[in-house]
Amino acid sequence: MITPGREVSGRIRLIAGVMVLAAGALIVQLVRVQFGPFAPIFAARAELQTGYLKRVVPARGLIYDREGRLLATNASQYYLEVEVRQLSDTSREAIASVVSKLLVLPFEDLFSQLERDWAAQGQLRIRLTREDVSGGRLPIAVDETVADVLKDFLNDPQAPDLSGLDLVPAPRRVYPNGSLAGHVLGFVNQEGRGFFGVEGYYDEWLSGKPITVARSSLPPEARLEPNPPAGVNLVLTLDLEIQQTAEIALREAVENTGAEGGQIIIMDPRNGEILAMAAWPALDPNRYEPWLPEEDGGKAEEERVITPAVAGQFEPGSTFKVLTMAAALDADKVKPDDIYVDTGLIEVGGHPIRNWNGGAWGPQTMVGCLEYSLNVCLAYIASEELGASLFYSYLQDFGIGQLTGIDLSGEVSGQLRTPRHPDWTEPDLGTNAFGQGVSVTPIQLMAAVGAVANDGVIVQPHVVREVVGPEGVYWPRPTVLGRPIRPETARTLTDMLVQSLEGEARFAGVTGYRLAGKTGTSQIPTEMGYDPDWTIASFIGWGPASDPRFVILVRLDKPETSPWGSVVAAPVFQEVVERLVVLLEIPPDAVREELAAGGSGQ
Amino acid sequence: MTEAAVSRAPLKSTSTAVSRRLRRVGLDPWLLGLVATMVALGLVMVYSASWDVSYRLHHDPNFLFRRQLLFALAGLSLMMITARMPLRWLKLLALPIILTAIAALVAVLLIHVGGGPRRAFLGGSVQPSEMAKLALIIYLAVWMDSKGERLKEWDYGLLPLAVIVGVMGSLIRLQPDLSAVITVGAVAFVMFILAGANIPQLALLTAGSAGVGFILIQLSTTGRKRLAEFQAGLVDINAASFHVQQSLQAFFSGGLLGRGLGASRGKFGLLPAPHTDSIFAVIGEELGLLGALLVLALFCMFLWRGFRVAMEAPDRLGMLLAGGITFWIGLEALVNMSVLLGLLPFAGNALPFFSYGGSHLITTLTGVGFLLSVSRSTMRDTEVGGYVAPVDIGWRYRRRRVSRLGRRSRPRRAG
Repeated sequence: MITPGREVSGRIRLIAGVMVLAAGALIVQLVRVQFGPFAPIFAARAELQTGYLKRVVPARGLIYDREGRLLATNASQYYLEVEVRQLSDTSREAIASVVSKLLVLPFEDLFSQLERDWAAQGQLRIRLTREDVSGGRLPIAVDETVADVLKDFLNDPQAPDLSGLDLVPAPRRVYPNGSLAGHVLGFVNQEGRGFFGVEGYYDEWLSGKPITVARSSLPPEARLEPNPPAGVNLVLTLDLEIQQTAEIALREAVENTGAEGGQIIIMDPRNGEILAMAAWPALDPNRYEPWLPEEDGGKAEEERVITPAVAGQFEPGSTFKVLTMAAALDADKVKPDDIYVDTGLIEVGGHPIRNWNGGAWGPQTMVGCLEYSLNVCLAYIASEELGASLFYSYLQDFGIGQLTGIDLSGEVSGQLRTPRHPDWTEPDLGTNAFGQGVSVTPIQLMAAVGAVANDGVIVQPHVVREVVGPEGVYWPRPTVLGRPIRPETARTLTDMLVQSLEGEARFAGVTGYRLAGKTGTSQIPTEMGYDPDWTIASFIGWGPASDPRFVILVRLDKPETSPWGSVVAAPVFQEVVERLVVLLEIPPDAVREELAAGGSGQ
Repeated sequence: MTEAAVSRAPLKSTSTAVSRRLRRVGLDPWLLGLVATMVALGLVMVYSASWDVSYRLHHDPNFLFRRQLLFALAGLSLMMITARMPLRWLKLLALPIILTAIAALVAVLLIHVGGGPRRAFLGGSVQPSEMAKLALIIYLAVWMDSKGERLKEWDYGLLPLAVIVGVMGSLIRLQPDLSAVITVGAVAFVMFILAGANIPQLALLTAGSAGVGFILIQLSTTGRKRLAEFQAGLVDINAASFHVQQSLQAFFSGGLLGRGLGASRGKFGLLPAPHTDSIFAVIGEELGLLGALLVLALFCMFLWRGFRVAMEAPDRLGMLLAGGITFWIGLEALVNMSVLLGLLPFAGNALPFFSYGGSHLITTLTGVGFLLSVSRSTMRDTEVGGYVAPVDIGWRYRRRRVSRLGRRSRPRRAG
């Protein structure tokens, strides 16, 4: 045996010496990290990494129809976020290929997002996006099924390396009925902000109060999530079945008449509850992106009308004659049987006014004036019988030119020029009498005419019936906006309109029910005067005449088959009433009178 | 730190008694004490660094720690076994050992299907490359010893050596595990020096291995990227790799005395692999500069003791074995620590005795067993002198006493 000699000891010492030198370098580096030139950088980063602010958003309130059927609810979705610093070459490729295969998205697009040097731009966390149909980019949102697959991948050491990928849950608003009542509901964007309709108007109530809490990420806190006050649930006055009926009737009407758009609103005049509010073209709040207001508030913004019932102002045309007549009757200026001799022409303030067909209709009662929708007759009533001050004071009492205050976002006030307005001229008095030169919103007209159906009382229209919050349930009371006319006037006018409607040859009526109503054909004002080709055909009516339970407004924009409200809109009203009396379980007049008589007899 | 002190205290108080007994057994008390301290401190740190990862992967914060505890027990048992194995047995066992290691390396390449590195059997618990390192050291020690002075001849020494190391290295390279290849190469190189290589051979070997290393790094994308990151990171900390930045951040946030045992923040997801490769950074964060220096000091003392055993070894085989094993363990430790401190390009070396990992811990402890075995034979030789034949009898005769002592000394150490 050879014992290791002096030479071997020397070699071992040499090797040990080299290793001790390396250890010395380590000591130097250990001290340098602590006190060296990089220490301030580390100190700054230590601050960054320890905590973060977390915004805890409570679940958004649900929306139901009056029977408790779900209109709006929440679902989970996840955004794909990437912690840039944790990416590696393998995980970049793995993330891109897994996501592209799961969601059928182009691999190159995803990979290029992952390859960008985000850290250089100061971004340590990015949200993956995808190309949108419109050409923009939308964040990739995945549902729970896909999210589960990705989570399994992340937890499984054998699976492709997805390190850096993170799934960030985000609530998504879901409208199970699609476009049904879409205009009433409005929508919620990705940030959870409500737009238009109920979502917009009650946004603050529905969204609850998000809390921002400071959390420590290192070490992770095991604290309970704070529980922010939840959003309230809303029960609407809408009845989904009536809404559906109205939407079907509207769609059929639009198809049959070739109209560009249209609306049907059904309201209970006694308490202002909106039972249905249909609008065409339909809005599917699940696919709200095209309807989002543009951030720069450009021109498109002004032209777009969402929830046309409150924002779609128009010149009401002949339906407005109801209000003119109501004013005249209430001021005792005319009686139903008064005769007016129609010569086919009247000048108001030097401006000639003619009838719709340009003809002279001879002696007519007030009922006839309404039945044949005589502009000359109504202009006479407004200018000669009522006079400007009385006429406009009545219109203001009816709420024309004012917001109704309905609980839907985006309401506009329309425009009524009174004599105090600098642009008002005397001819306006004559044209306003039959609904020209004045613009209203459908809901305004609805509320005003609702007064005639409700014994002269205007009730504020509203769509929310119950507010169910964490602290209890709140039922908004019907708000009386005013009493522009006496109850007797209202009843008289209703009878007149029943008569005029019965005289209308085209309107077959609904068997067993007395209905009041008025057609309207309005011209569309443009910058060059009235549009020569197109009209807005409308009809407003209510029933049963003796005890009105509903007011219905039908409006069809630019119908192709005929310009006249009596031809286009009146049949839609009739059709809706036929179904509505069944849905609302309103017995025919004869039965009701029998019941009333029997009831009083006992 | 406290843990280390606790585990060391009983050793110290009874050091004379234990040392006397151990000396009689023939085990180096310094080595045993150092290893025990490091394994104990390592277990504490593995627990601290692994529970978050363990919970995330296995939904049980103790899962990884329990496994590591079993690995430590298995490793210590193997250590006690190999410590009593006569060195000359290795002369018979060296060939089977290296063949088994090569077979395992081939098997791991064949069995594993699918993409990604093929480094382990049984879902990552058995890594043949770790065992291959020790097997190669044993084989080289035996082989170099048997060649004697003829090793200095080119065709007798350098060429076969290059072939052996080349085969092992290529097999590991195929996994691929570049860090292990370089470790194997460096260990073989140092053992060749110890075996008495002359200057021209060493020069050629240095040039050759540097060239091969350069090519290997250039061939591997990971290697190239890590080298580039390292070079950039030396100049500007912001350009260093995410791992190194996080690791340095951990050392910094530890300060002088550390955030306190268990209080690391980096281990919660920021620091990659906190319980395995990065455990030194966790130590630095929890026990501070002083803790890190203590670990470094422990390894330096281990190197001192290990090389001392090599120098005092009774024969060439013992010297080569002890030197190789000591260098190997020291190299792994220094590389690991240097990497975490940004002083070397990124390598996948674990910190011996501390990092979580079954194959690694068990192999290292087995290696320490051989080291102890060398020290034992040294002492036995000095005690009994030239009586070769009676030693074996005497050794057999004394075995019962040894066993009893071993059993008694263990609870004391643990307590």
